[in-house]
Amino acid sequence: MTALLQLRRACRSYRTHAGAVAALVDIDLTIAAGQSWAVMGASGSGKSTLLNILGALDRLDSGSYELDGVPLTRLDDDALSDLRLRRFGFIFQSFHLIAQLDVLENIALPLFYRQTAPDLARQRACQLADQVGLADRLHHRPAQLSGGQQQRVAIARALANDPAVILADEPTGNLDSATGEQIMDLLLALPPQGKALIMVTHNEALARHCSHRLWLKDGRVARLES
Amino acid sequence: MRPWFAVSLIAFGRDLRLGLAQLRLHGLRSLLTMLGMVFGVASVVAMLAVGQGAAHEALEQIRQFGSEVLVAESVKEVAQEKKRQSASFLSVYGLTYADADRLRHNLPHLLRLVPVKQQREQAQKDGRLLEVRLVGTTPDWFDLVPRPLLAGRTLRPLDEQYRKPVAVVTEEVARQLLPLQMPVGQRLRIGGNYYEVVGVLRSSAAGQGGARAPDQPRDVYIPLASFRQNLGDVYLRRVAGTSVRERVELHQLLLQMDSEQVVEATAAALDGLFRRFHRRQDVVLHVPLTLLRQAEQTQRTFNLVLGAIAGISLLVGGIGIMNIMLASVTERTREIGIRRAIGARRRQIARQFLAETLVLSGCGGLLGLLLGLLLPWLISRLTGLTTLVTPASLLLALAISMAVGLVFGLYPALRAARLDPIVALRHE
Repeated sequence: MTALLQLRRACRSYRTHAGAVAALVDIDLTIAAGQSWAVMGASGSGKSTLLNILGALDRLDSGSYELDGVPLTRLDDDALSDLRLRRFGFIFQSFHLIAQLDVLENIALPLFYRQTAPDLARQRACQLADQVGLADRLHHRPAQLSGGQQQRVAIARALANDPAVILADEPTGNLDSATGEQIMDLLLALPPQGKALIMVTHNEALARHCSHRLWLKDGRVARLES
Repeated sequence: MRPWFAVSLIAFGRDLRLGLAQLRLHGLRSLLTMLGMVFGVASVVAMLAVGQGAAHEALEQIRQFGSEVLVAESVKEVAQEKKRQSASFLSVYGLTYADADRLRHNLPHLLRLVPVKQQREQAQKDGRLLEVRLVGTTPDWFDLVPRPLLAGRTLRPLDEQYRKPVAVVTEEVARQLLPLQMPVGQRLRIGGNYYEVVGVLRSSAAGQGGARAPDQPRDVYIPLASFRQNLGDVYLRRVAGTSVRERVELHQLLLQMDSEQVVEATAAALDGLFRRFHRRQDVVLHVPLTLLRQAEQTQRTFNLVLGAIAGISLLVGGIGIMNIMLASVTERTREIGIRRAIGARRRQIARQFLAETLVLSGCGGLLGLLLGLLLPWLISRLTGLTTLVTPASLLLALAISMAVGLVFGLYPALRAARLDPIVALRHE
């Protein structure tokens, strides 16, 4: 098993009015392609920080983070942006679609930033919309869609550049349980295709579908199941 | 692989389209934001048009008179004017025949020298009366002040040599005094003498020739020698109820030089000459070229002032745009966070907002251009002022609007780019 992502002695703390708060303390983690991870823990336990670190949105204070054996610690902002564009796909609890763009444009946004030719981008976006079951909603605005449909758009967008890692922050948190399960089915179909899925969730039932489960407490790994 | 500039150009094109969509999304807000820009650009175009129109008109007036012409004019000295005046008092002043000869023989680069005597006189024909300006001059006058000849001929050297009683009249004089006859061949009585009309000229219409034009609408031109013989050099002038006797040999000398370059040097030479031979300063020198230079200078000053006013309105417009763009950045913080999380670089975010500002200011500029085209037309219609919209001024106005967009869009764009994606994503 080769490591896709590897964290070693990863530390991250924030400065607040009350002083420095340690969000992550000495985390060691190795994630391989094809695995699915559920990250759980109470709020403030460092789940979101871990996800941001893994997704190259945030930087470590100390320790190391390697993607495919390449350390990210020394990369500049542009290089991290490019990594997010090409290697990571984000899915958020509140979908985070851009309101003034339609379904197709939202899906094609990563392609836009990759400067894919417009006709190619369109073709790929249509294909992805079809894949998540939104072929008949291509020109709807996010406000015209249900929560489940919006999250499908977000998944299609996350997949647009064929990333290696999908990072999902409570992807079913704003959805009813039936819709949530449909979304989970979509997400859990990804690891068998060779992608790593890392998902923050409160839902233990959903977490049971993942190959690995990680509990965080006060920024430390409390329990690890696989 | 396409070259990098083609790629970034295409990307910028998309950003512009996105900006246009954003503009449509907030139609009223965008329009109100653009207003400052619209008026700024419109005033640039309109003011340039009025300024250039005025300059054009002024220059045309002066050019008509001829920029290589100098005019020496007899004036009564102020000190002498104030003296106690009685009927027996004879004031002597002004240019002399000797002056004319001296200049004719000594001035280099002189093309023509036209002496002028003039007197207001009553002209009569068959009981019709008209006050005219009787001008005694030489045939050269008609070369210096070329006007279309409507009938007959102008004065000839032989008229001068034989002191013939012939006259060339302007169109208006012919219409007033000889409305029913063929003017050429008729005899007019002017100041006690009879003159045969030999030609009719179209005079420069009042206003068109300007106040400084050498000819007037009601002119009668006769040979200088005939003028001297019939009227002499002593004139009776009525001033405030009393009459003043004056002796003036020549009222004007028009000097035409062979090129514009020598005009200023000649003016200096003439100044020296007049200072020497006319110690009482009874001669003044008018140099149209200098007037032209002054007009151009005035025009430059005018442009500067107008430019400043336009600049201020554009500044205000630009600040308005910056204000709304800053608000837009705050409003769309989460969108910026999303774009950054997806993988947009800082530069791409900055470019998006800069493109949006450019769309805003560019549309404002275009609207302003239309308004700016309309305004000079309205001004011309309402006030009769000449306005001139040049393509250069349109381009300038558009370039200014884009520059304003660029300058005032930079700060909001940089602010958008500097946002921390994590903080931006959490923004409500």
